[in-house]
Amino acid sequence: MNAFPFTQKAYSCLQLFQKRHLFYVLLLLPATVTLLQGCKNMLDFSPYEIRVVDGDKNTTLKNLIDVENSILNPDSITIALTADPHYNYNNLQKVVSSINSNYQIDFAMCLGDISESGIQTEFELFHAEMDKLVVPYLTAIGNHDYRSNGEDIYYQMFGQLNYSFKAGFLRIIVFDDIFWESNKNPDFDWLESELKQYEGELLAVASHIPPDTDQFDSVSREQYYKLMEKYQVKYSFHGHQHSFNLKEKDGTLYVNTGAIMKGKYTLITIYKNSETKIKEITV
Amino acid sequence: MKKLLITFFCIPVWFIQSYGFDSAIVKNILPDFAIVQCAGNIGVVSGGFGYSFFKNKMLTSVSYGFVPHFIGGTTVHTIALRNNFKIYEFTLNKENQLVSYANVGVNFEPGEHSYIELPKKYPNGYYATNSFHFPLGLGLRIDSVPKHINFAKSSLFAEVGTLATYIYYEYMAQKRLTETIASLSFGLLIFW
Repeated sequence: MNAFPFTQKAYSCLQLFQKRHLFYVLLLLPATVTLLQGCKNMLDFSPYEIRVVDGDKNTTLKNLIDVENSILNPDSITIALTADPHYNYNNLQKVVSSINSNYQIDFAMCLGDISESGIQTEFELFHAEMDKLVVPYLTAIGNHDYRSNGEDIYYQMFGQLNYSFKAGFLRIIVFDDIFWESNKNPDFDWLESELKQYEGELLAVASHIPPDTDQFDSVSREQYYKLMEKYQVKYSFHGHQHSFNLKEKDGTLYVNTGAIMKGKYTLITIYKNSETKIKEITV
Repeated sequence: MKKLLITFFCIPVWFIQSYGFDSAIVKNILPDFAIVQCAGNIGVVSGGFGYSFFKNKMLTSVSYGFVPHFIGGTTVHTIALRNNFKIYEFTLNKENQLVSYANVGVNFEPGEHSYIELPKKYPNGYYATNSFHFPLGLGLRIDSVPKHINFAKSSLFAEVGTLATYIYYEYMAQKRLTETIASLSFGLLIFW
Protein backbone atom coordinates (compact mmCIF):
# COMPACT_ATOMS: atom_id res chain seq x y z
CA MET A 1 0.00 0.00 0.00
CA ASN A 2 1.34 3.38 -0.83
CA ALA A 3 1.16 6.66 1.09
CA PHE A 4 -1.65 8.12 -1.06
CA PRO A 5 -4.50 7.73 1.49
CA PHE A 6 -2.42 9.66 3.98
CA THR A 7 -2.12 12.59 1.52
CA GLN A 8 -5.87 12.43 0.89
CA LYS A 9 -6.63 12.54 4.63
CA ALA A 10 -4.27 15.43 5.19
CA TYR A 11 -5.87 17.38 2.35
CA SER A 12 -9.37 16.77 3.74
CA CYS A 13 -8.19 18.01 7.14
CA LEU A 14 -6.88 21.17 5.59
CA GLN A 15 -10.21 21.80 3.84
CA LEU A 16 -12.11 21.38 7.10
CA PHE A 17 -9.59 23.50 8.94
CA GLN A 18 -10.24 26.43 6.63
CA LYS A 19 -13.99 26.43 7.34
CA ARG A 20 -13.97 25.68 11.04
CA HIS A 21 -11.09 27.78 12.25
CA LEU A 22 -11.91 31.07 10.61
CA PHE A 23 -14.11 32.28 13.47
CA TYR A 24 -11.55 31.33 16.12
CA VAL A 25 -8.69 32.85 14.20
CA LEU A 26 -10.57 36.13 14.25
CA LEU A 27 -11.17 35.63 17.97
CA LEU A 28 -7.49 34.97 18.78
CA LEU A 29 -6.05 37.67 16.59
CA PRO A 30 -6.83 40.72 18.76
CA ALA A 31 -5.56 38.91 21.89
CA THR A 32 -2.28 38.03 20.21
CA VAL A 33 -1.78 41.52 18.82
CA THR A 34 -2.40 42.99 22.29
CA LEU A 35 0.19 40.64 23.79
CA LEU A 36 2.75 41.64 21.21
CA GLN A 37 2.25 45.39 21.34
CA GLY A 38 5.39 45.80 23.42
CA CYS A 39 7.53 43.49 21.33
CA LYS A 40 10.32 44.94 19.23
CA ASN A 41 10.24 42.12 16.70
CA MET A 42 6.87 40.52 16.10
CA LEU A 43 8.50 37.47 14.57
CA ASP A 44 11.89 36.10 15.60
CA PHE A 45 13.14 33.60 13.07
CA SER A 46 16.47 32.71 14.62
CA PRO A 47 18.90 34.04 17.24
CA TYR A 48 21.54 33.95 14.47
CA GLU A 49 19.69 36.22 12.04
CA ILE A 50 21.08 39.64 11.07
CA ARG A 51 18.26 42.18 11.11
CA VAL A 52 19.60 45.48 12.43
CA VAL A 53 16.82 48.09 12.44
CA ASP A 54 17.52 51.36 10.64
CA GLY A 55 17.55 53.41 13.85
CA ASP A 56 20.40 51.30 15.27
CA LYS A 57 22.62 51.49 12.17
CA ASN A 58 25.85 53.49 11.70
CA THR A 59 26.14 54.43 15.37
CA THR A 60 29.87 55.23 15.15
CA LEU A 61 29.35 57.74 12.36
CA LYS A 62 26.54 59.48 14.28
CA ASN A 63 28.60 59.65 17.46
CA LEU A 64 31.76 60.86 15.71
CA ILE A 65 29.88 64.01 14.72
CA ASP A 66 28.86 64.49 18.36
CA VAL A 67 32.42 63.92 19.68
CA GLU A 68 33.60 66.98 17.75
CA ASN A 69 31.06 69.11 19.60
CA SER A 70 31.30 67.42 22.99
CA ILE A 71 34.79 68.61 23.96
CA LEU A 72 34.20 71.94 25.64
CA ASN A 73 37.52 72.44 27.43
CA PRO A 74 40.36 73.01 24.91
CA ASP A 75 43.05 72.20 27.52
CA SER A 76 41.89 68.78 28.69
CA ILE A 77 39.95 65.72 27.53
CA THR A 78 38.20 63.35 29.90
CA ILE A 79 37.34 59.90 28.56
CA ALA A 80 35.27 57.21 30.28
CA LEU A 81 37.14 54.09 29.17
CA THR A 82 34.93 51.02 29.43
CA ALA A 83 35.02 47.46 28.08
CA ASP A 84 33.55 43.98 28.44
CA PRO A 85 29.93 44.38 29.47
CA HIS A 86 29.20 40.90 28.00
CA TYR A 87 25.70 40.07 29.34
CA ASN A 88 25.79 42.04 32.57
CA TYR A 89 23.23 44.67 31.60
CA ASN A 90 22.59 45.56 35.23
CA ASN A 91 26.18 46.75 35.68
CA LEU A 92 26.06 48.39 32.26
CA GLN A 93 23.09 50.45 33.48
CA LYS A 94 25.06 51.44 36.59
CA VAL A 95 28.10 52.46 34.52
CA VAL A 96 25.90 54.52 32.19
CA SER A 97 24.35 56.29 35.20
CA SER A 98 27.79 56.90 36.70
CA ILE A 99 29.08 58.41 33.43
CA ASN A 100 25.96 60.55 33.10
CA SER A 101 26.43 61.96 36.59
CA ASN A 102 29.99 63.10 35.85
CA TYR A 103 29.81 66.35 33.88
CA GLN A 104 33.57 66.36 33.25
CA ILE A 105 33.42 63.41 30.88
CA ASP A 106 33.63 64.45 27.23
CA PHE A 107 32.91 61.08 25.66
CA ALA A 108 32.96 57.36 26.39
CA MET A 109 34.63 54.41 24.73
CA CYS A 110 33.66 50.75 25.02
CA LEU A 111 36.57 48.59 23.97
CA GLY A 112 34.88 45.40 22.89
CA ASP A 113 32.99 42.34 24.08
CA ILE A 114 29.75 44.24 23.94
CA SER A 115 28.03 40.91 23.39
CA GLU A 116 28.53 37.44 24.82
CA SER A 117 27.71 35.18 21.86
CA GLY A 118 27.60 37.68 19.00
CA ILE A 119 23.82 37.38 18.59
CA GLN A 120 21.68 40.33 17.62
CA THR A 121 19.62 40.58 20.80
CA GLU A 122 22.82 41.11 22.81
CA PHE A 123 23.91 43.95 20.54
CA GLU A 124 20.42 45.47 20.75
CA LEU A 125 20.39 45.37 24.55
CA PHE A 126 23.83 47.01 24.67
CA HIS A 127 22.80 49.65 22.14
CA ALA A 128 19.60 50.44 24.04
CA GLU A 129 21.53 51.03 27.28
CA MET A 130 24.33 53.06 25.69
CA ASP A 131 21.75 55.25 23.97
CA LYS A 132 20.96 56.60 27.44
CA LEU A 133 24.42 58.19 27.70
CA VAL A 134 24.38 61.98 27.63
CA VAL A 135 27.85 61.95 26.04
CA PRO A 136 28.70 60.29 22.71
CA TYR A 137 30.31 56.85 22.78
CA LEU A 138 32.56 54.94 20.42
CA THR A 139 33.31 51.24 20.30
CA ALA A 140 35.99 48.74 19.32
CA ILE A 141 35.14 45.18 18.35
CA GLY A 142 35.99 42.40 20.82
CA ASN A 143 36.62 38.68 20.41
CA HIS A 144 33.14 37.76 21.70
CA ASP A 145 31.59 40.18 19.20
CA TYR A 146 32.97 38.07 16.35
CA ARG A 147 31.11 34.93 17.45
CA SER A 148 28.11 33.67 15.42
CA ASN A 149 27.35 36.48 12.95
CA GLY A 150 28.55 39.20 15.33
CA GLU A 151 30.99 40.76 12.87
CA ASP A 152 28.19 41.52 10.37
CA ILE A 153 25.85 42.77 13.08
CA TYR A 154 28.63 44.93 14.56
CA TYR A 155 29.45 46.35 11.12
CA GLN A 156 25.81 47.27 10.46
CA MET A 157 25.13 48.62 13.93
CA PHE A 158 28.36 50.53 14.50
CA GLY A 159 30.33 50.76 11.24
CA GLN A 160 33.97 50.27 10.32
CA LEU A 161 36.08 48.01 12.53
CA ASN A 162 39.20 50.13 11.98
CA TYR A 163 38.78 53.90 12.12
CA SER A 164 40.35 56.99 13.60
CA PHE A 165 39.00 60.27 14.90
CA LYS A 166 40.15 63.52 16.39
CA ALA A 167 38.98 64.38 19.90
CA GLY A 168 40.24 67.90 20.61
CA PHE A 169 44.04 67.70 20.61
CA LEU A 170 44.06 63.88 20.76
CA ARG A 171 43.96 61.54 17.75
CA ILE A 172 42.49 58.14 18.61
CA ILE A 173 42.98 55.20 16.27
CA VAL A 174 40.51 52.38 16.90
CA PHE A 175 42.01 49.08 15.80
CA ASP A 176 40.50 45.61 15.37
CA ASP A 177 43.15 43.31 16.87
CA ILE A 178 41.19 40.05 17.05
CA PHE A 179 43.15 37.07 15.70
CA TRP A 180 41.38 33.82 16.52
CA GLU A 181 37.70 34.63 16.01
CA SER A 182 38.26 36.72 12.88
CA ASN A 183 40.45 33.99 11.32
CA LYS A 184 42.86 36.62 10.07
CA ASN A 185 45.75 38.70 11.30
CA PRO A 186 44.92 42.26 12.31
CA ASP A 187 45.59 44.83 9.59
CA PHE A 188 48.92 46.17 10.88
CA ASP A 189 49.54 47.83 7.50
CA TRP A 190 46.42 49.95 7.98
CA LEU A 191 47.51 50.79 11.54
CA GLU A 192 50.93 51.89 10.34
CA SER A 193 49.48 53.99 7.52
CA GLU A 194 47.22 55.79 10.02
CA LEU A 195 50.09 56.33 12.46
CA LYS A 196 52.23 57.66 9.60
CA GLN A 197 49.46 59.97 8.42
CA TYR A 198 48.98 61.53 11.85
CA GLU A 199 52.62 61.43 12.98
CA GLY A 200 53.41 64.38 15.21
CA GLU A 201 49.90 64.55 16.74
CA LEU A 202 49.19 63.33 20.27
CA LEU A 203 48.27 59.71 19.45
CA ALA A 204 46.32 56.97 21.17
CA VAL A 205 45.49 53.50 19.87
CA ALA A 206 42.37 51.78 21.23
CA SER A 207 41.70 48.07 20.75
CA HIS A 208 40.17 45.18 22.64
CA ILE A 209 43.09 42.83 23.19
CA PRO A 210 46.24 44.11 24.91
CA PRO A 211 49.42 43.05 23.05
CA ASP A 212 50.85 41.15 26.01
CA THR A 213 47.98 38.64 26.23
CA ASP A 214 46.70 35.40 24.73
CA GLN A 215 45.89 36.08 21.06
CA PHE A 216 49.12 37.94 20.18
CA ASP A 217 52.01 35.67 19.30
CA SER A 218 55.56 36.89 19.87
CA VAL A 219 55.91 38.22 16.28
CA SER A 220 52.67 40.24 16.36
CA ARG A 221 53.42 41.48 19.86
CA GLU A 222 56.81 42.78 18.79
CA GLN A 223 55.27 44.32 15.67
CA TYR A 224 52.73 46.20 17.79
CA TYR A 225 55.29 47.44 20.30
CA LYS A 226 57.61 48.61 17.49
CA LEU A 227 54.79 50.61 15.85
CA MET A 228 53.96 52.29 19.16
CA GLU A 229 57.61 53.18 19.68
CA LYS A 230 58.29 54.25 16.08
CA TYR A 231 55.37 56.68 15.90
CA GLN A 232 55.66 57.78 19.54
CA VAL A 233 52.12 56.73 20.41
CA LYS A 234 51.39 58.16 23.84
CA TYR A 235 48.50 55.88 24.88
CA SER A 236 47.40 52.33 24.13
CA PHE A 237 43.90 51.58 25.52
CA HIS A 238 42.56 48.03 25.94
CA GLY A 239 39.99 45.77 27.61
CA HIS A 240 39.70 41.95 27.46
CA GLN A 241 41.57 41.20 30.70
CA HIS A 242 38.63 42.32 32.91
CA SER A 243 41.03 43.97 35.32
CA PHE A 244 42.58 47.40 35.60
CA ASN A 245 46.26 47.54 34.71
CA LEU A 246 48.78 50.27 33.88
CA LYS A 247 52.09 49.72 32.16
CA GLU A 248 54.61 52.02 30.51
CA LYS A 249 56.82 50.72 27.72
CA ASP A 250 59.06 52.72 25.38
CA GLY A 251 57.16 55.95 26.11
CA THR A 252 53.70 54.44 25.58
CA LEU A 253 51.26 54.20 28.48
CA TYR A 254 49.28 50.94 28.23
CA VAL A 255 45.95 51.31 30.00
CA ASN A 256 43.85 48.21 30.55
CA THR A 257 40.40 49.05 31.84
CA GLY A 258 38.40 46.86 34.20
CA ALA A 259 35.25 45.14 32.93
CA ILE A 260 31.77 46.64 33.02
CA MET A 261 30.55 43.15 33.91
CA LYS A 262 32.48 43.55 37.16
CA GLY A 263 31.17 47.09 37.66
CA LYS A 264 34.46 48.77 36.75
CA TYR A 265 35.54 51.41 34.30
CA THR A 266 38.40 53.88 33.98
CA LEU A 267 38.37 57.64 33.91
CA ILE A 268 41.24 59.21 31.97
CA THR A 269 41.92 62.92 31.87
CA ILE A 270 44.56 64.01 29.40
CA TYR A 271 45.89 67.54 29.55
CA LYS A 272 47.35 69.42 26.62
CA ASN A 273 50.79 69.33 28.25
CA SER A 274 50.54 65.47 28.20
CA GLU A 275 49.90 65.26 31.93
CA THR A 276 47.55 62.33 32.53
CA LYS A 277 45.25 61.49 35.42
CA ILE A 278 43.88 57.95 35.56
CA LYS A 279 41.32 56.68 38.03
CA GLU A 280 39.52 53.37 38.25
CA ILE A 281 35.83 53.75 39.05
CA THR A 282 33.72 51.06 40.73
CA VAL A 283 29.95 51.34 40.46
CA MET B 1 23.56 19.77 6.80
CA LYS B 2 22.50 18.00 3.58
CA LYS B 3 23.11 14.61 5.19
CA LEU B 4 21.01 15.67 8.15
CA LEU B 5 18.14 16.75 5.89
CA ILE B 6 18.28 13.53 3.91
CA THR B 7 18.12 11.55 7.12
CA PHE B 8 15.29 13.70 8.45
CA PHE B 9 13.04 13.44 5.41
CA CYS B 10 14.03 10.37 3.43
CA ILE B 11 14.29 7.65 6.06
CA PRO B 12 10.59 7.83 7.11
CA VAL B 13 9.49 7.71 3.44
CA TRP B 14 11.77 4.76 2.76
CA PHE B 15 10.48 3.01 5.86
CA ILE B 16 6.84 3.41 4.86
CA GLN B 17 7.55 2.29 1.33
CA SER B 18 9.40 -0.79 2.53
CA TYR B 19 6.85 -2.04 5.03
CA GLY B 20 3.59 -0.61 3.67
CA PHE B 21 1.40 2.10 5.17
CA ASP B 22 -0.91 -0.25 7.07
CA SER B 23 1.67 -2.65 8.49
CA ALA B 24 1.82 -3.04 12.27
CA ILE B 25 5.40 -1.85 12.53
CA VAL B 26 4.69 1.35 10.56
CA LYS B 27 1.54 2.05 12.59
CA ASN B 28 3.54 1.79 15.80
CA ILE B 29 6.40 3.94 14.63
CA LEU B 30 4.46 6.41 12.49
CA PRO B 31 4.25 9.83 14.17
CA ASP B 32 0.87 11.00 15.46
CA PHE B 33 0.94 14.39 13.83
CA ALA B 34 2.74 16.72 11.46
CA ILE B 35 3.61 20.28 12.40
CA VAL B 36 4.17 23.36 10.27
CA GLN B 37 5.24 26.55 12.02
CA CYS B 38 6.20 30.10 11.16
CA ALA B 39 8.81 31.92 13.30
CA GLY B 40 9.47 31.08 16.98
CA ASN B 41 13.28 31.16 16.72
CA ILE B 42 13.41 28.01 14.59
CA GLY B 43 13.10 29.51 11.12
CA VAL B 44 10.83 31.50 8.89
CA VAL B 45 9.13 28.19 8.16
CA SER B 46 9.66 24.91 9.93
CA GLY B 47 8.12 21.52 9.51
CA GLY B 48 8.32 18.22 11.28
CA PHE B 49 6.58 15.30 12.95
CA GLY B 50 5.62 14.44 16.46
CA TYR B 51 4.06 12.09 18.94
CA SER B 52 1.22 12.57 21.36
CA PHE B 53 1.57 11.30 24.93
CA PHE B 54 -0.77 10.99 27.94
CA LYS B 55 -4.00 11.51 25.96
CA ASN B 56 -2.71 14.58 24.14
CA LYS B 57 -1.53 16.22 27.36
CA MET B 58 1.97 16.27 26.01
CA LEU B 59 2.95 16.71 22.38
CA THR B 60 6.57 16.11 21.41
CA SER B 61 7.80 17.01 17.97
CA VAL B 62 11.00 17.33 15.98
CA SER B 63 11.14 20.03 13.32
CA TYR B 64 13.54 21.35 10.78
CA GLY B 65 13.46 25.13 10.32
CA PHE B 66 14.98 27.33 7.66
CA VAL B 67 15.77 31.04 7.43
CA PRO B 68 16.56 32.17 3.89
CA HIS B 69 19.31 34.73 3.39
CA PHE B 70 17.00 37.39 1.95
CA ILE B 71 14.90 37.46 5.13
CA GLY B 72 17.39 36.73 7.90
CA GLY B 73 20.48 38.38 6.44
CA THR B 74 22.08 34.95 6.53
CA THR B 75 20.95 31.38 5.89
CA VAL B 76 20.17 29.45 9.06
CA HIS B 77 19.17 25.81 9.49
CA THR B 78 17.74 24.69 12.81
CA ILE B 79 16.64 21.38 14.27
CA ALA B 80 14.13 21.85 17.07
CA LEU B 81 12.72 19.53 19.68
CA ARG B 82 9.47 20.87 21.13
CA ASN B 83 7.44 19.66 24.09
CA ASN B 84 3.97 21.12 24.52
CA PHE B 85 2.29 20.60 27.87
CA LYS B 86 -1.43 21.17 28.09
CA ILE B 87 -2.34 23.66 30.83
CA TYR B 88 -6.09 23.95 30.47
CA GLU B 89 -8.73 22.95 27.96
CA PHE B 90 -11.90 24.93 27.18
CA THR B 91 -14.64 23.20 25.24
CA LEU B 92 -15.97 25.60 22.66
CA ASN B 93 -18.46 23.20 21.07
CA LYS B 94 -18.71 19.55 20.06
CA GLU B 95 -15.89 19.68 17.57
CA ASN B 96 -13.68 22.45 18.84
CA GLN B 97 -11.58 22.89 21.94
CA LEU B 98 -9.42 25.80 22.94
CA VAL B 99 -6.25 24.53 24.61
CA SER B 100 -3.73 26.62 26.47
CA TYR B 101 -0.26 25.12 26.73
CA ALA B 102 3.33 25.73 27.74
CA ASN B 103 6.16 24.98 25.38
CA VAL B 104 9.71 24.04 26.27
CA GLY B 105 12.34 22.63 24.00
CA VAL B 106 15.80 22.67 22.53
CA ASN B 107 16.91 24.34 19.30
CA PHE B 108 20.06 23.15 17.66
CA GLU B 109 22.03 24.99 14.97
CA PRO B 110 24.34 22.44 13.37
CA GLY B 111 27.48 24.52 13.19
CA GLU B 112 27.37 27.10 10.40
CA HIS B 113 26.97 29.97 12.85
CA SER B 114 28.05 28.20 15.99
CA TYR B 115 30.11 25.31 17.24
CA ILE B 116 29.34 22.26 19.29
CA GLU B 117 32.96 21.54 20.06
CA LEU B 118 35.50 24.30 20.58
CA PRO B 119 38.00 24.58 17.69
CA LYS B 120 41.50 23.46 18.61
CA LYS B 121 43.04 26.94 18.37
CA TYR B 122 41.29 27.97 21.60
CA PRO B 123 42.55 27.07 25.04
CA ASN B 124 40.33 24.67 26.99
CA GLY B 125 37.19 26.33 28.33
CA TYR B 126 37.69 29.58 26.38
CA TYR B 127 34.05 29.47 25.20
CA ALA B 128 31.05 27.29 25.86
CA THR B 129 29.10 25.83 22.93
CA ASN B 130 26.68 28.25 21.27
CA SER B 131 24.80 25.72 19.14
CA PHE B 132 21.94 25.15 21.55
CA HIS B 133 19.14 27.46 22.61
CA PHE B 134 16.23 26.70 24.90
CA PRO B 135 12.89 28.12 23.81
CA LEU B 136 10.06 28.75 26.23
CA GLY B 137 6.57 29.84 25.35
CA LEU B 138 2.90 30.05 26.15
CA GLY B 139 0.36 29.36 23.50
CA LEU B 140 -3.20 28.75 22.55
CA ARG B 141 -4.38 26.19 20.05
CA ILE B 142 -7.76 25.24 18.68
CA ASP B 143 -8.15 21.49 18.43
CA SER B 144 -10.74 20.66 15.87
CA VAL B 145 -12.19 17.16 15.41
CA PRO B 146 -13.80 17.02 11.99
CA LYS B 147 -17.30 15.54 11.73
CA HIS B 148 -16.88 13.53 8.58
CA ILE B 149 -13.35 12.25 9.01
CA ASN B 150 -13.34 10.29 12.26
CA PHE B 151 -9.59 9.66 12.44
CA ALA B 152 -8.20 13.14 11.91
CA LYS B 153 -7.80 16.26 13.98
CA SER B 154 -6.30 19.59 13.09
CA SER B 155 -5.04 22.33 15.39
CA LEU B 156 -4.18 25.91 14.73
CA PHE B 157 -1.83 27.46 17.26
CA ALA B 158 -0.42 30.86 18.14
CA GLU B 159 2.37 31.19 20.68
CA VAL B 160 4.25 33.95 22.44
CA GLY B 161 7.74 32.75 23.18
CA THR B 162 11.36 33.56 23.75
CA LEU B 163 14.68 31.89 24.52
CA ALA B 164 15.86 31.11 28.04
CA THR B 165 19.04 33.13 27.37
CA TYR B 166 16.96 36.21 26.54
CA ILE B 167 15.00 35.88 29.76
CA TYR B 168 18.26 35.87 31.68
CA TYR B 169 19.45 38.95 29.80
CA GLU B 170 16.19 40.77 30.50
CA TYR B 171 16.45 39.77 34.14
CA MET B 172 19.96 41.27 34.19
CA ALA B 173 18.66 44.39 32.46
CA GLN B 174 15.65 44.54 34.82
CA LYS B 175 13.24 45.31 32.03
CA ARG B 176 9.75 44.23 31.13
CA LEU B 177 9.99 40.82 29.48
CA THR B 178 7.94 41.71 26.43
CA GLU B 179 9.94 44.83 25.65
CA THR B 180 12.56 43.27 23.43
CA ILE B 181 12.55 39.51 23.65
CA ALA B 182 9.08 38.03 23.25
CA SER B 183 7.92 37.17 19.79
CA LEU B 184 5.05 35.47 18.04
CA SER B 185 4.93 32.18 16.24
CA PHE B 186 1.99 30.39 14.72
CA GLY B 187 1.35 27.17 12.92
CA LEU B 188 -0.71 24.12 12.24
CA LEU B 189 -0.81 20.58 13.58
CA ILE B 190 -2.44 17.80 11.61
CA PHE B 191 -3.21 14.56 13.45
CA TRP B 192 -4.09 11.30 11.77
